[in-house]
Amino acid sequence: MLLRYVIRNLARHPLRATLTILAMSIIILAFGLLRTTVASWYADSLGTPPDRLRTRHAVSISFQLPVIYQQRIASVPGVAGISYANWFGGRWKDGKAFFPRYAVEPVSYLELHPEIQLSPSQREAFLRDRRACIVGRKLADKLGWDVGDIVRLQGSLYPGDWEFTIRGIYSTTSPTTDEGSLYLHWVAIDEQRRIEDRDRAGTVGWFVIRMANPEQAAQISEAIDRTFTNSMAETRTETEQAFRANMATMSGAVIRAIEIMSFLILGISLLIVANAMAMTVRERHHEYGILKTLGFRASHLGFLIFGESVCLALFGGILGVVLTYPASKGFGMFLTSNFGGFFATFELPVQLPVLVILISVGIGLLGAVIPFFLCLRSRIRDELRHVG
Amino acid sequence: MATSIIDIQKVSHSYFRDDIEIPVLKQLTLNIEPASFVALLGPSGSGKTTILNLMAGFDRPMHGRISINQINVSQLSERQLARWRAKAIGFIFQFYNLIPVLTAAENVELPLLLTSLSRAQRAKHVATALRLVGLGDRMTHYPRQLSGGQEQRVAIARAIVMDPAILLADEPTGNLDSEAAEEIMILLQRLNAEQGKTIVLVTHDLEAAQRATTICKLQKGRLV
Repeated sequence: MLLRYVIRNLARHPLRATLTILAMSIIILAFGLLRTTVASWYADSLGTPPDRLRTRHAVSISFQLPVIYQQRIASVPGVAGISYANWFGGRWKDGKAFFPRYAVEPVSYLELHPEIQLSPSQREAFLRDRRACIVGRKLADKLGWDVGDIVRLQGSLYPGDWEFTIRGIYSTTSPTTDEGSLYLHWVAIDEQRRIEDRDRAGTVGWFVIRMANPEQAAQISEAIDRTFTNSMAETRTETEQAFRANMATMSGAVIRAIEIMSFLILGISLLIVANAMAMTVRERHHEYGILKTLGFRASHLGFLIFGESVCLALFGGILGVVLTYPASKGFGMFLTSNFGGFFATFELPVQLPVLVILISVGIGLLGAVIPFFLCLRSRIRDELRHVG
Repeated sequence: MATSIIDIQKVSHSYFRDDIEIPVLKQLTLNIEPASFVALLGPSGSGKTTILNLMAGFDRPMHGRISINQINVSQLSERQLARWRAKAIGFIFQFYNLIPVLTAAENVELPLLLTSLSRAQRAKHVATALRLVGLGDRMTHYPRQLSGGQEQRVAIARAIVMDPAILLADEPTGNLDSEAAEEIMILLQRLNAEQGKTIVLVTHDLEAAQRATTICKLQKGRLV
């Protein structure tokens, strides 16, 4: 019956309870989206195939490596395949629509990345035409592109005006590989560089390596890096997972800020619940006095106060989770289509409902601590005199 | 001579307001025998509610001793007091003090939740108590659906449902019209006569006090 009492107490101030539950649900919604954003940011690195390595300049990814390293890397025992790529950079139209653009060696790159799926005819067309590019399905849908369309880019790392013909629209079999990128022929842009910027010609951003045995990743990485020790461009080789994680960490400050914010808003929800409970307990001072006269002890009053607080927070939390699912679809679509390079996927963690329930219960309990102790500290004589 | 059920010995008590001591009770001694109906009559500020608060253990006397059924109430801890209060004392207040979100039956059931009785046993006790006060047909009514007199009768049912030996009533008719007040006083008389309850009634209404078997007049913290 005490539980019934708790539930009926919730309905005594419908407006206050509704507003508190709504506030809590909106905060949980924001928390869910922020946590998913953080998780998605790192998910890209977690879902990568285990048999791939990446070799980049030992100092920084922004330094280039000579493309001729390819043969020496390929000769390292355990290396089963190699390709290379570089940022193309550049700008499309006014630069507002951002999407990653990579210059790759197409034959080996597609071979090493089977998750990039193209129809045989489109693949053939892409490989045959040096001025061709392929784009992801999401990117094509977003920008209204189709096969045969011309993409005009204004170069930055590779200066000049560039035109590429879309020869294929790829989809992906991996949820962590985005469909929002553009791939073009490295050789096409390098040819131009040889004319205009000879010093930087023949360089790549990184090599992609497929290992015969993923368990030998450490030995192969070490062997590759040892090959270029004391050279003009020393290398750093790591698994693709580590490489992507490092890339993610480069933007760590932003992600950490999002993480901190996600916890800060939980603090706000705690204050909201605590405030609602403080008002409730103050108004029911007299009633708690009556219960004390009937013999109700701290444990019973605690059940009533903490129970009401937990119910408030829990209802808000559950509503928040329910709202998070549809909201995440829209928010996820926005992120993946606008920041596809960073958020290949945006899926709510499966443990989110459990996490939210635990957090809600925690907020409910914490929110009732001060009101409960205020109630305990009050003397029956004063409570009976109190008019709520 | 029967042993006192309530034994108040040389109790003095004061309140403090802004460090100013306001004496309320002065060396008050009072013995109440089992199954008696005592009215504490006096004007506002005479200390009658303070005596009730001290008897119930809501407050501790500054001097003197209060024993209820041979138990020195002033020496019980808060936890012991709560347990003792639930079993030994029933309260009836001027403003009924029912829980508005609970039905009449649920209000009466509240003290029984502290016992190990099963739901069925609790329901039986509740029905008996409500029938005793003449509200057997109003069990599912909420306080807002009852008249003042009926609310007070539910409060009385709640006070007797644990079958305490003592009922402490603080101006129980103070908020009722004369007809309802009459009904409540008759009910209290019946509880005293038929159930053997010891009733301490605090009132400033002489007419209500005359229903009691003993009237104790209080004036400025002393019995007169």
